Amino acid sequence: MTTLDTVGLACIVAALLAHALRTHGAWFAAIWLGLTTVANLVVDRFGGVGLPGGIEPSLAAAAAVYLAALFGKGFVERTRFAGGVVPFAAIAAACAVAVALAAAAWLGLDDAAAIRALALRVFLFCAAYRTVSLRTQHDPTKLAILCGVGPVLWAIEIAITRVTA
Amino acid sequence: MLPHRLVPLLPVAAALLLALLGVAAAPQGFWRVVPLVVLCVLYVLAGRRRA
Repeated sequence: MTTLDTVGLACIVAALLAHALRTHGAWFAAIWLGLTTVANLVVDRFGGVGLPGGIEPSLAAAAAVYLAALFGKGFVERTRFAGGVVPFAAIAAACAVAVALAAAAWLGLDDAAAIRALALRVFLFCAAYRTVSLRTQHDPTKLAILCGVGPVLWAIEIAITRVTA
Repeated sequence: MLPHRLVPLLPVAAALLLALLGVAAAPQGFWRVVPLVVLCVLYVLAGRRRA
């Protein structure tokens, strides 16, 4: 990546990290950035839907997942949409398509593959987050649970991809 | 440290930066960033309407 891309990526990640810290707390921020970055490296290694490997594309993928989830969550809250796990995750996945198109242009990815990868990840991420937050409310263990289900989600992604490939 | 009113705008700022990088990387495919820009506008409008 060029210097401009690296600086841009650093700014995007810093803005989203500040947002995550301010609204969800340090544990969520650490789990989101750490888990999703490592997850992309793992998925790339074992052949999932796959965005490019390497630390910078993986950070970009993590930022894109959070950004799309955030827009989905924002629309649900701002319009007072009262839905369950699946509608919540579906709205966020729809937002992921818009984010994936821009990310595909930026990273030079195939549009269809990027949309598929990000929409699937955001859907799984949001479904897990919504399920855990609905069931445990403000229990501090919910983020630990989310941390635990993360690797299972990426395993599902790899499995789905291999079945449909 | 960060004004609370500005926090909801952080994702919009990040998204617009992403759109800018997308246009810079692929000027001929600028249509790809249009949905994201539209999403940003709708997000801000949805917040204003609620307020």
